[in-house]
Amino acid sequence: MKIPILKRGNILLTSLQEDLTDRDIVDLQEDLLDIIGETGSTGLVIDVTSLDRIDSYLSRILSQTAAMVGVLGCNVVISGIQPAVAMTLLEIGGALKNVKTALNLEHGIDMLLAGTNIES
Amino acid sequence: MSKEENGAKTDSMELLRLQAVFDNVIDGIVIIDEKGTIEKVNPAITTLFGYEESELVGENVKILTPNHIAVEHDSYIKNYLDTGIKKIIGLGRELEARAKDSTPISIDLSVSEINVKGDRRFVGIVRDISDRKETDRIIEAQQKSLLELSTPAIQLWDDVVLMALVGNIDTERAAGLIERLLTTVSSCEARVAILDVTGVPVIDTNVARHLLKAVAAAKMLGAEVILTGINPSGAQTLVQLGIDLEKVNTKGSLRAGVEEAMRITGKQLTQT
Repeated sequence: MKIPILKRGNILLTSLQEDLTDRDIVDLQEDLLDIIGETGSTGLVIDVTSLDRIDSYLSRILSQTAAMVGVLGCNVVISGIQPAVAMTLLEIGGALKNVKTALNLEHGIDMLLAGTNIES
Repeated sequence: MSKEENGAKTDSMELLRLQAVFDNVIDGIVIIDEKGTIEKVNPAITTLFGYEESELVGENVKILTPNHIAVEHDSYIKNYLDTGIKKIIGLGRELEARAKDSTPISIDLSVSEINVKGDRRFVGIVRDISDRKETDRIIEAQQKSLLELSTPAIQLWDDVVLMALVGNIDTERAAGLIERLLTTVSSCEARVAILDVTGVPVIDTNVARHLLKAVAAAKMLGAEVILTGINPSGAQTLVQLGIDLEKVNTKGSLRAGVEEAMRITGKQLTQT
């Protein structure tokens, strides 16, 4: 299943859904890098509102993606991490490292537009 | 009076004294033989279990134990006689006994072995610990209810949440606190959470670990945490323990914390 990536000005938006396979997320990583390479977008919001759980694999890939995209000069914000997900991530020690986070998509976009970010 | 008579009199006096001790001690005493047959009980036993002395003497000691122990009791004695491995003799242990009316009694039982000229007996000292058990249960229940005493997370301003921690923070409580903090941050769409620890008596490695966890969790949701109210001795301990709070936004007082929150959310406090 291909995960759609939406573009709004200089910002890219993508949303992760519950029925995500390991394959999907790796594909998404590649697609994101390609699109950012092509368009030179300066911001990316990955919304995870609908995820009830984030396992260590996914959290690693997300951190990795953020780092890769950062190299391309694009700021990443992960938005909508659920309280339960945050608790689980802490427990498994998989806290998203060096990734900016926002409460929801709106905040995420605001952060990128304002250029003032909260470091995680 | 001859010396011998005098000695015999002292002996019988001594016996009477020992008998009086046996009859008047608060703890129950049961003496059984190698087969487990009760030979002698003191009045404390009859009072505790509700039996007459005559109902117990000659019976197997199993009469005083709950069924699950009773079925094993013969093998307990046999094992000891065969192997010499002491599982209870010389030690004490807490277990459940059974009164005449079948009500369970919490007791502390210690068993000693006595050997008078090759004649082997076991002496069980029974202490009623029902009261202590009850007290333990109450303490446990109170501890639990203390834990449940909620520490509310309050929405202080549009996107500012305040949580004032009071009392000691252990692992169990910390989990609840973090959960509540996160849920409130999420439902209030807060961008800043103020965590005030003025009411936390001791800040040690453990408490600091929980606080850092709370900070990390809130950050994952996209809220910044301001830690306020760490007292001077707390600050001293934290640095001495080598706990790194560099990355955490700390402020001395709640007041300063609120100011900082307003600054972060782009609001201004003016005095009139």
